[in-house]
Amino acid sequence: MKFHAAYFFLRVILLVMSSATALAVDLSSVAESKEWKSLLFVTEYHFLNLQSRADSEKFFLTPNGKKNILSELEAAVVAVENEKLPLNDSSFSCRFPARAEFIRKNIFNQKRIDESGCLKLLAWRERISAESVTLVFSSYFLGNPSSTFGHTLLRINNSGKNKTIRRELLSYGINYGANAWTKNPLFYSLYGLFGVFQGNFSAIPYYYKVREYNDYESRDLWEYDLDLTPDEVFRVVDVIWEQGENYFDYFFLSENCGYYIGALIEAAAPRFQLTEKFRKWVIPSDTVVQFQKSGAIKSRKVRTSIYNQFAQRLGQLNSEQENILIDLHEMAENLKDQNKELNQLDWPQSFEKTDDQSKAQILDAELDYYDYIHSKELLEKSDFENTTKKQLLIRRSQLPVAQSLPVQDVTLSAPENAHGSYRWQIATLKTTDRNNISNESSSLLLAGRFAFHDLEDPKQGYPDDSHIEVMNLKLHYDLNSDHSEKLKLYEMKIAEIGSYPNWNRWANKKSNDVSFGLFRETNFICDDCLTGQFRFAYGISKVFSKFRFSILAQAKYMYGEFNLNHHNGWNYFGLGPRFIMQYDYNSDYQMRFETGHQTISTAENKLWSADIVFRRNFFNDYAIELGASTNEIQNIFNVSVYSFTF
Amino acid sequence: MKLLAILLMSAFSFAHAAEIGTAGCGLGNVVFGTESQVLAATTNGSSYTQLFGITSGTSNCVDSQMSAQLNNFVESNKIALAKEAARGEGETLAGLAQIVGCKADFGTQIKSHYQQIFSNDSTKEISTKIMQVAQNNPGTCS
Repeated sequence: MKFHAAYFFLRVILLVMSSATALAVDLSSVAESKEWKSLLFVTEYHFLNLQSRADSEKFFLTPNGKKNILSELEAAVVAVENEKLPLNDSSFSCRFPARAEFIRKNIFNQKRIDESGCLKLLAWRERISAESVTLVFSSYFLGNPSSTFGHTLLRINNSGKNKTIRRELLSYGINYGANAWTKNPLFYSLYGLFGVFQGNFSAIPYYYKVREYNDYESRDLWEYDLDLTPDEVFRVVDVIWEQGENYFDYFFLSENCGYYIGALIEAAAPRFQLTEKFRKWVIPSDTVVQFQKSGAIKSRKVRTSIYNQFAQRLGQLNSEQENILIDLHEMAENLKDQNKELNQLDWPQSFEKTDDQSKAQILDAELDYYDYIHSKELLEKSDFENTTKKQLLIRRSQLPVAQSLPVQDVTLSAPENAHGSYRWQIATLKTTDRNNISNESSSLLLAGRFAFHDLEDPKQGYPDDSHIEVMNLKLHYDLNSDHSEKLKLYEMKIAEIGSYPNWNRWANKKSNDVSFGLFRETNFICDDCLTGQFRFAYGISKVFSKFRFSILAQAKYMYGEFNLNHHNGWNYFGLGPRFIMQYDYNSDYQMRFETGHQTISTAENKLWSADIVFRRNFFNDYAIELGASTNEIQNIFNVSVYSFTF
Repeated sequence: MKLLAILLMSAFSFAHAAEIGTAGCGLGNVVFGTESQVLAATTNGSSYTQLFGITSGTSNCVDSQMSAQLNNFVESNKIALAKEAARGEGETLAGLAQIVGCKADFGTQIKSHYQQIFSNDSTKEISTKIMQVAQNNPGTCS
């Protein structure tokens, strides 16, 4: 290798001498350039040395290429230098066209080589026919553990032979995902967390993704056209091609789709600062925000989920039409019970009486709704649903074309301006004993949350009826000198996931929330003790104007050293109601009142508590909160300051 | 995820039946060096490499492979396509028009022949009838 380096230094010097205008090219500085490092995905530190994240030896020319970017550059320079026309598919420039082009341009100051011998590369480029690139974010999906925080992919747009209309569905989607060989959720999670799976890029017609996300999982797809030059678009395709035989060890939290979609664009367009701004843990929605902040996004479009399409159609119906829709839907669903001949739908009178335009509108809403609630049966080609649907469709085909759905204002839910998913909190607490008001104490609370969003955090870009918090750590520092243990763990919430959707007959979504972790408690059965808890609540929520009311039944298991009058114990199980009232004035002003009551096992005491919180959010980055909570033992007042970061 | 597998399996089984080999429009013929290209597809977290390897791709296939493209498009988009065909408008229908080389008002033609085209669930029959509609409308389709 040393020989190669020396040889090339000489070559380069000769080249420079032969050209008065060219500058001396120092290979080591080229190897350190962002362009070269991005092309090789060199962004990872290994014992203080930078190395490539690529894990397949086939991605490199030299055995030590992963760790030695200079030797890899030298070998690539040799390969380019020795290349003779015509090229064939195994030539360096055919296998690694982006790297070869970089070297030609920056080291040899040459134009693009004649690539007509690269048959497979040319076939690939032609197949993709890239004109522009779109970043796609599929919104949060609590039903699938690998998509809880959303998913990112790319779409390489083409407009076909005539170059008239962009063919989005027919364009290629570029996905980065784990090549998982197990479906067992436990092993899947463990292997995903610890890098057991190999991750790689794949190309797939975009319509598969639309069918999967929009229709089957009912998730919105946010599409961001990227501000890339034609050269950069060309390079994106070549960089994907270079991924041909490569793989990366897949880490669910750090080296995931969010990371590599950013890295791929950076390899093709290194002027954007993407991956260096990522934290160790990459959340796909943070990737979208980073694309926005770096100026890579040109425009936004949302492709709404099947349920949201239905909701839009429902919104266009008047109340009379909605009642007809109810009749129509009951007809479709009740066929099974009535054991009727499937081909003979008994169309409701109310539907038959309305005019054709109205029939078309109502039936359009029913068709989307039917697809939403029966996505599984329709895909599995279940007889009953398919036959019913077919009858609905035939009737629809006999009605006129209805008006298209209007464009919605989605500014508030757009994820590119969402708050940072890390959150820091500093708070002062004042605690008063309810039985002895003069017994007061003051303390400081310092907290950090790994991710993601709670109900009072700025709404921008997050679902307004859900919260997902992962690893919220709170430390409590007692300011009163008479306590021996001044600094203590106040809370370690491992996860809390809750969803409080507005109930209606169509969505029929119930509210639920689950949380577990360590929480410090002061109540009838323990005095300032740290307890392990698991809580589950289930109920219903309803929105009236800006208020959301939730009534839940809650079960709570606690483990800790409890002190009771008649015995000491470790395990307690509590049951009782919980009530939440949320006032959503706007994203900047939030209020929540919450109260709960619990009957607990093995004790006569009943526990109750109530909390109220006022939050003022500023610029999606900061917040001030006033809070008060009370239970049978004590009152706590707090003033908190929050800061959101990426 | 499991259901996506079913969707893809059906696309695969169809493609297999129609003998669209890896030399078709899909990714299967994207090979790199001597080994098969990992660029055959996976979904988010699951691998259906082989299935997708055979599934036809989209644009830029030569004309003789248009029927393969059409079949795969119909198979994978059948639920959405039937709905939009009955409505007479929509993006999937527009995608279909692009594959068969027809103008946007092709949707209206499909709508008026809805019952004939979708009388049977067979992808091949649906595709054949779509092609017949296209051939009978030289003004709309080139």
